[in-house]
Amino acid sequence: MIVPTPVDGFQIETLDGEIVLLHPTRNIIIHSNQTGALIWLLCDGARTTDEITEILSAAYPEASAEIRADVPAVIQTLASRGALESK
Amino acid sequence: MSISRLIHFAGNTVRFSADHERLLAAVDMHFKNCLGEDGPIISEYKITTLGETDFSVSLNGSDLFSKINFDQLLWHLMQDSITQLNGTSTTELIFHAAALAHDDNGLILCGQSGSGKSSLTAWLAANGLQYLTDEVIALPIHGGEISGFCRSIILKRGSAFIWQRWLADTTSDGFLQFNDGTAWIAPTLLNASAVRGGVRPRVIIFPRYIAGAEFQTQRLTSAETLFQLLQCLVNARNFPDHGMSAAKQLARQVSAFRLTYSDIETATQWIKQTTAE
Repeated sequence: MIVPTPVDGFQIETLDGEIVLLHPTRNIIIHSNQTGALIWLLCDGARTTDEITEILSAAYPEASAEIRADVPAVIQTLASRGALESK
Repeated sequence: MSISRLIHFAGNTVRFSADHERLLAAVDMHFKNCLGEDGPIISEYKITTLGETDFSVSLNGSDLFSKINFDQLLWHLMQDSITQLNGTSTTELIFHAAALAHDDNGLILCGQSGSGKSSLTAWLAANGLQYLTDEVIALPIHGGEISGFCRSIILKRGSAFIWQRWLADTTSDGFLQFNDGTAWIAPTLLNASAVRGGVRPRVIIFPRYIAGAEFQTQRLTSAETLFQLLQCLVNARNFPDHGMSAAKQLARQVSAFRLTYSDIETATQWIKQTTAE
């Protein structure tokens, strides 16, 4: 069971629902659109990927199919860029 | 006898000292709009003439080069002085970007080497926009007008079509061509009223030159703009928040676009129309 957890040291700026993450010492800069920002905010180191998917699917039932595809993809992208780790 | 020239940018100054008339004339011409003192002198280059064609250089009292030729010396002074001035500023954010003014609307062209920003800058200056810089801009940490390191425009060999199109006279002192085909062009050769000290930023364009590509523009969100700007921010380490808040403010106040082009004339017309709006 994957629990995506934010990596320490990121600065976060939110603009119009989108986010920019900056890790100054590791020189990482990431942009996420509104969907990615929402998923990032739900990655609190306690919820599993499945739980995040369920939360968003319940909140946006009309987009449930997209959410089931987007959540693991966004988490995978953020992890590959060094912003999330699995616990 | 050694004579000094002071070059300033973003609240700091460097000093060149030399006794070589041709070198001093080249500095006067190609750093013309950055001459003078503005803030503390952070670095001192002492250039000594060796015979007829070679030079030695010391930086802040330490030997740097024991023997380099005239072209190598000019290139080194241009590149190293910018690096020194960029890295030191604690009051202004320094972005690797070109900038021009269209009336009172500031245009920033942000991109890495090879993106075509210097070529676009030269073409836009020749088409009536005022020139701030082709290399680095400074934005005060609390916002306001941007300024540029207003050196001569540097065009690589592949951009020779620009000066071939726009310069009637390449024998002027303002035009300097190196053996590798690179040219330094005083901006006033392209447009007599070309130079401007500062302007409010209104439009940021992230250009990308691709041979044969269709002309495309994409409006960027503020977050996308901030993401791109942070990648061009040179002195982030000098600020407690790594320049995020000032860069965010800039991203919010401008219209920003990604521009893909192959035809410089089409790109120029679109940019002029966009910055005039």
